[in-house]
Amino acid sequence: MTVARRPEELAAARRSVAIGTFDGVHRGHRRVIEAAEAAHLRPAVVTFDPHPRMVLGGGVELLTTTERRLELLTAAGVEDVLMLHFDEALAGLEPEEFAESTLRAIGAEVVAAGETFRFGRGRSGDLDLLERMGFDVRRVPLVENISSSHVRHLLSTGDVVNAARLLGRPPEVDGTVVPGERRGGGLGFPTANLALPAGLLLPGDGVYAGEALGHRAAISIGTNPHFGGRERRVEAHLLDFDDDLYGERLVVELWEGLRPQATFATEAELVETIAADVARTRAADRPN
Amino acid sequence: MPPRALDPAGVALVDKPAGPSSFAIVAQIRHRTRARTGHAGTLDPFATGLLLLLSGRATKLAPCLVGLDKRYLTDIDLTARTATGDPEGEIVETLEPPGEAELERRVAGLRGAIELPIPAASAVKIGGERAYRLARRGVEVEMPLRRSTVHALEVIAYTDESVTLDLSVSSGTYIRAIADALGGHCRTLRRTEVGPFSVTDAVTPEAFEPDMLLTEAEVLARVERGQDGVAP
Repeated sequence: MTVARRPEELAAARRSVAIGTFDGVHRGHRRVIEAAEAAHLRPAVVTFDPHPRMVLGGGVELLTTTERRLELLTAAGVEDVLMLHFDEALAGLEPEEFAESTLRAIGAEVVAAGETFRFGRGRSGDLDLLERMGFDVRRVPLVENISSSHVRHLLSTGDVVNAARLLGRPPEVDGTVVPGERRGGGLGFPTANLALPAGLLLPGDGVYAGEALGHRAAISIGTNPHFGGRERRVEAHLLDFDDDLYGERLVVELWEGLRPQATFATEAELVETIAADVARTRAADRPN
Repeated sequence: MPPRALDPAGVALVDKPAGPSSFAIVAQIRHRTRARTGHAGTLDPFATGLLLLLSGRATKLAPCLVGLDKRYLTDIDLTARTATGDPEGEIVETLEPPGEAELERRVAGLRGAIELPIPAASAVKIGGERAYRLARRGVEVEMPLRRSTVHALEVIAYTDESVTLDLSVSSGTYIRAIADALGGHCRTLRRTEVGPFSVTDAVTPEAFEPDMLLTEAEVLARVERGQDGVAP
């Protein structure tokens, strides 16, 4: 994959371009990419970093880091990406100027986008404008309510199964393994504690079944109320795995919600519950 | 001609560009491997996308692979029908593109079991001659009907004059026939999947290296998993 930061870094070609923010690279995003690929020109994805809403205000909890977004675009078969640095200057360009200096500059003839895509100063540019400028515009309608904001809503309530349906793959938490309280090891269930990059959405509190590094994993998200914790954490117990992961990046898939977080009368009760979580994790199915 | 080598054996996933015939791609790969080479289902010259090329001993896998379901992306020009259902045929009828509701109604009628005439410009042989040669010589032929199944058919994008479709179909379905039945012709056609294999794992013919061949065992295992419905 080629990731260009400036239009002139992409090879000259007649191109069909899929444009959008593509946070989460969900099924709707993949349709936009497919609409561009159908055109038989050299496809490219034009996207933005950081997420425009981080710059324009309003704030947003992201489904994917920029790194993960690029990995998922690669998995979707994308080879050429123009990742534009989104700042006030870019946001302030007149829509025509944006289209000329980015889309036209990389040889775009076909442009595919979600039909509500907006760009340029005050979000005043739309697909009609691109059409008037001579681009062959492919409008991709929103279907089945598949949108990044809907996925965020489902995840914040812990509904990983429906989130997976919209994403076309299981949702993930993507972070770095850091030292924790070392309590889990004492209970017989050592966990990898994940530090998430700032700005990433943390799914709703609870215990989940999932997978990491090809191993089934029981994942706890929340404050560990049994131990009186305050900070929300992500801890993953990988089944049949005993390597040290400190400092490593870990992408954990969430397959199924098992139970809410809870406090227990005794440590024995806690251990018993975790053992049941592990048994259900072994039996869990990957969605899709 | 001496018998061609049985090694290297395996299956190559190649992303065919628009222009050359499938056979030209076979020849290109055979030139690299020097092995007996075949394919598991042709693509018309104008089409792009996934070709399964069988090298050496793996050519005997063809019967297990030719019947796999396929998935395609196509841009259909709704302003004209052509003699061949693709951009290479002569325009036989110009059309007023349908509105969104009418288009959706026509699309709905093409889901499930369908029976459509095999388009004139196809690789099927009639009386020993390729149908597209006959059509390009201007020979009128009565095209037989073919039964097939459209497992999924989604409108993924639209313009005033064209529509982009994503179709999952049984083996032997002619997308050009579907375009014709919809009232238009394929402007582009890209095969994105053959059974469990995806074009995202394919390489261009130029980038192909013999060490990229999937082994026969791996191919059969993936096909079986796909048929059990375990694989996505």
